Amino acid sequence: MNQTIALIGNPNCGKTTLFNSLTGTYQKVGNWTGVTTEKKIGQYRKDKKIEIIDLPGIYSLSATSLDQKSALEFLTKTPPSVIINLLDGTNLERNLSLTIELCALNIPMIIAVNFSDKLEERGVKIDLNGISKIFGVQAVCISAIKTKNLDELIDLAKTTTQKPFKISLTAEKGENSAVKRFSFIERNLDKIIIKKGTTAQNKTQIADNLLMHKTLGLPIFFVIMTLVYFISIKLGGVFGGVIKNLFDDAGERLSIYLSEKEVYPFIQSLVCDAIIGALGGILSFLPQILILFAFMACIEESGYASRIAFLFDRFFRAFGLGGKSLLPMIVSSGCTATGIMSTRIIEGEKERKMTIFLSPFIPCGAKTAVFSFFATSIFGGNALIASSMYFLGVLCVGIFGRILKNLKVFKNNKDEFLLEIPDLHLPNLNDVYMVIKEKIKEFITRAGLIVFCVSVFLWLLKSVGLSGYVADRVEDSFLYVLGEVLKYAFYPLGFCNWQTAIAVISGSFAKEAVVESLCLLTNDVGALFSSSYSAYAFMAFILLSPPCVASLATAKTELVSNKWFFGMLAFQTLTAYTVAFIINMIGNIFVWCGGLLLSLIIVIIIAISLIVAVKILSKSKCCACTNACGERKCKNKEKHSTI
Amino acid sequence: MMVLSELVAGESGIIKELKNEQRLVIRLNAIGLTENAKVTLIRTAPFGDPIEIKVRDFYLAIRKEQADKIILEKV
Repeated sequence: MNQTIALIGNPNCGKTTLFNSLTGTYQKVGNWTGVTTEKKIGQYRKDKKIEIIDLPGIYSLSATSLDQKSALEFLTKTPPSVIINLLDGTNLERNLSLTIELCALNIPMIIAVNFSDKLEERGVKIDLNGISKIFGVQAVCISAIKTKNLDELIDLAKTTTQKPFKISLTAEKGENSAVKRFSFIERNLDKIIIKKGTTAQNKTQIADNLLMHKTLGLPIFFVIMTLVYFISIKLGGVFGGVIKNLFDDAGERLSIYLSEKEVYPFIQSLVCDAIIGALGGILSFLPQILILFAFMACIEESGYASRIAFLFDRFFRAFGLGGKSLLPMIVSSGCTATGIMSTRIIEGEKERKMTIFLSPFIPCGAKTAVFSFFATSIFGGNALIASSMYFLGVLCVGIFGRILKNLKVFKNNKDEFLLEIPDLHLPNLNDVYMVIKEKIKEFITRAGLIVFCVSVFLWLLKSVGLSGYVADRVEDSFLYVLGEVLKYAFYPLGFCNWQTAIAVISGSFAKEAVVESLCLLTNDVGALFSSSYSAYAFMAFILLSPPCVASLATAKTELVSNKWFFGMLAFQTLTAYTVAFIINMIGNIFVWCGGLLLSLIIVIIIAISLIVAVKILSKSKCCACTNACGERKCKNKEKHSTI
Repeated sequence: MMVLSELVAGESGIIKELKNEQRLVIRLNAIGLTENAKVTLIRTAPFGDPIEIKVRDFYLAIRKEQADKIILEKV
């Protein structure tokens, strides 16, 4: 009979790392709470008959949140053969609270104390026998990250039939069950920890004094992020250029070769333009995205991400979001789909939905590629153009967050914020490597399936018309007709031709396809746009319009209801259209009335935003009432202040 | 008696009462913020909110809004 082993423990105690080491598979890990959001099943590397289940991290079985409920349901309805209760050895006091609750389940159990390496480093000594005596089950010290003692752990888990003691908690008056558990642990803690480690400020605290500093924290964050983007885009651009040249070269040679062999032009065009051109275009983005992802993985892995959430929480709340919304947004700058998935760490339902609505505004790797393409082909390599898209994205998150916050469906946003600040550690290079490996795999499949298919399909539509193969007479092709009809929808935005219309459509499958289709449909991208501001409006439209199909599919799963999903689609389309329209309008005004009116408008905009900023900042909370009712003018002032 | 958010960085207190709504009290209890637990304020964030506290040997960020309802006795 197959054995099932369930891994249970507090969030961020290393369950997923253990799961990955035991099963030899890869699941995303990160040094913050709640990276695992649903249960994962794998087989033990050395014995496929043993099934290992990784449950989301929970603090308690009795609390109300969704993942804790589902963990309890899993444990009671389909009890595993054995539970491995993984404990963070550096924080036993809190971790053992869950252990007491697990004891009541009457399922065979093993206690595994993780981070044995850190414990040794700090000079902490833990008495495993002491743990066994209290809980009635065997205990081992392991290090999931250094794969220490893992085989022993599984050997124990395979053979054990020991069920834990039922721990009867002596209740003192007025204590609830959590309080009872903690007082039980307090009474027994010195039987478990025989030697306390150094209590001196550890390295994490010293680093935090800088990273989370009241005034220096934010500048440090901006310096780090600027460096990350700068290195990714510059370095990635160099490698990307090499790849692009290679493919262009290969395409040219092949084209010459095929013409010599007198291959049918339809096939020749298919191979050279559609297949090789598309592959080269897609793969040239790969280096940028990989480097960016490696950095993002380091930020997550090291624990810096939680610090960022701490730094920005207050700021984000002005827009109806919270500090935890920043993490999905940062992830979104790599890939929107994974960004949307990582919104699960946000507890507040409304805050979470808003983050799903807004995080696609942060340009992902594919959109970045579109922008750098535009920057080089239209704006003469002006790097400011590409980075201004980031600012536009962030600006739109702010503005539209503020607007959404006041909508009825998002109102009454009383979500609490509890975030564990984990120890900082150097990123585990193995995990970073795994992220990169996964990314390459995903990218190749995406490139292979979506972008490639879209590209070939476009080429096909472009080459075929009512009269069969139309070769260079594009005007006879189906694509031309389609684009000619669709283009009028974009007339108010300043780009009204069939090529851009088709590019927008193909971009809705995968954003990289925008570049692909533009290159396929025209030789001079600049000529498609009547002016530089209409090109900028086009970029803004690509930035803000609904994300690619992969992200949309993720958003649908996360938002669940159709109502919310279509609401999101409508919101993003409307936003993209409005912003692009405004950009085009401002551009038009600039041309018609010269610089005077524009400067006037800019002055007005700056003035308004300054006033708004001052208003937001001066919006002090009601300080008279200890209830912190949050009203600017507290109606209950007298009542509250008397409390 | 004072509330958690009134502590100055480095100061500690013993929790006497959690006046938060019931749902949050359950969560706070589950992670170790219980009556009689010792809390130390580590630092406040750049915009003055949230705050980082140390309780039962780990670090936790919590918003002032919630910290305002945690009554403690300074030690």
